[in-house]
Amino acid sequence: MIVTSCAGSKMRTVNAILRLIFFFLLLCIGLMIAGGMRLLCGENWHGRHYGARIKLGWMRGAAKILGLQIKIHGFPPKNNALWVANHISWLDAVAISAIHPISFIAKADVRNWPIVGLLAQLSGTLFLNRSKRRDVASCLSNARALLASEVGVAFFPEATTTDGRTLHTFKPSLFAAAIPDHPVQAIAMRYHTARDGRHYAPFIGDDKFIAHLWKVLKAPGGTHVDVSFCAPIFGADRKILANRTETQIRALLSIQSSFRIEFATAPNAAHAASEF
Amino acid sequence: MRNLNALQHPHQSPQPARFVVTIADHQEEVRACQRLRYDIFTGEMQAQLNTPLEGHDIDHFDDFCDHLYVRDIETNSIIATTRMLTNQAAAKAGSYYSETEFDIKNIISAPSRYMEIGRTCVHPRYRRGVGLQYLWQGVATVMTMRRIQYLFGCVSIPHLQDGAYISGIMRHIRKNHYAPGYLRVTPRTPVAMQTVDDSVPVVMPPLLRTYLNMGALACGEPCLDEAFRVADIFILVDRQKMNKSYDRHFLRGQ
Repeated sequence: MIVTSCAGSKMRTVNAILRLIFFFLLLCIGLMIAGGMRLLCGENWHGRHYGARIKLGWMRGAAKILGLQIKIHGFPPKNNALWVANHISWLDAVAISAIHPISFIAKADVRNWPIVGLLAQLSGTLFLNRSKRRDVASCLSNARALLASEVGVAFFPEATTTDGRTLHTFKPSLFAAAIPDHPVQAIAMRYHTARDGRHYAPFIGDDKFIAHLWKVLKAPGGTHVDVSFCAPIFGADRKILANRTETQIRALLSIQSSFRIEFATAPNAAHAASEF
Repeated sequence: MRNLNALQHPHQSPQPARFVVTIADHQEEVRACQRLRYDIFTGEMQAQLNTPLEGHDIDHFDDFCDHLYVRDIETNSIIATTRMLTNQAAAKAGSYYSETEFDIKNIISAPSRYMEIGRTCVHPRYRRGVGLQYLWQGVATVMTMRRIQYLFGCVSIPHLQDGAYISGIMRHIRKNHYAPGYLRVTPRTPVAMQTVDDSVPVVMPPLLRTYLNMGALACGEPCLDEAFRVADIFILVDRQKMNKSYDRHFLRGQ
């Protein structure tokens, strides 16, 4: 790929500028397509057959331009589920959407990101302001409606990013979007260090989107990510779902926590409700 | 390992997978794994187990391990299991399981990420089929996601009265899969070897064969485990040197 063909730092800058331009062009094309499709096919265009294909193709293009190289492990999605992943960067959403066309539940700030925010809105992202209770309720009903119409929904239950070495406790509220017959599936994400041994993927705290995008484009060797789909689980209790998916991701990434304590005291119902 | 282009179209008809590979996240699942181990170890291998809970194979290390298992959805039963002990967990447990049988300081003295696996078993009905393959897929995924560099463990070889079988296997191993001197381990209870006839072909047990095909090295002479009536061979897998064909084989999504 283009990313790997250049050695020096100057070449890398040129390469990054080119890809930044490509990325900008892709965003513009995306806006035109998303806007057009929305006018023609209505709000749920991205869930329909061709809409889903277009969205997937666009996302794969974006992943390529960003130098994102995705390896999939475990149980890749076979049908539409409620997906939850550990959160390191906005790249998580690109990587997951490049695997399967999904509607993300994102924090309301994202809507204000230049171009990307508008594009996200036009292509089915659900925005959420966690501090407003009414927002959560309407977001949940939208997410359930999407799931019921066979569109996958994903969110980041930590509600914030980490550098990938830790994991915050999963917040159960959005797990209420789970509906019967659709599994909840945890996705563990882990980024490799770039060729210079540094981590460019984490997008933490006050990082600015444009500055971070530039860093990602300049990452030597591109950004490699392992995406592992855990075994799907069924159940209705949002607290148990949050607990189990968090445990699955912790176990897979070997991130220690109060795991053993939960382990010993988890109610038997947790098991009964989630037989495979 | 799969790349994106190999994925099928997202709107394929949903077909649930028959097998699920997962890490036990609840005590009841760990117990089910321990029951499978008990059945196989006491049944086929006629091991004498000293266990606190009847019908379960439980030891000191179980509490510190992550238990990986394969479940057959059709019969809703666990068909294969193994347990994994990372270096952080081994520090909490006091040692690796292998350290009860071998002196392994040559292996674990370098700072790296290690993971031990052990108590691997597959239900007899699934041995010719997918049992081991799915289990290995799981182990490979865990290795990748945890960035484990070295995987090691003891592989048990049935030890019959005269020791001819293990001697034949060791002969083959010393010739083809032996680790260099600086990666040797010392067994605490060595096994008496016999001189064996070259011309007799050796039939490897499936687990050992899988390891060796993957590029694993045997790191020394076996250790006798009287309770399990087996001779244990210590093997080591370097993820970097893992046989590429097996890498693909095991990492491919199911």
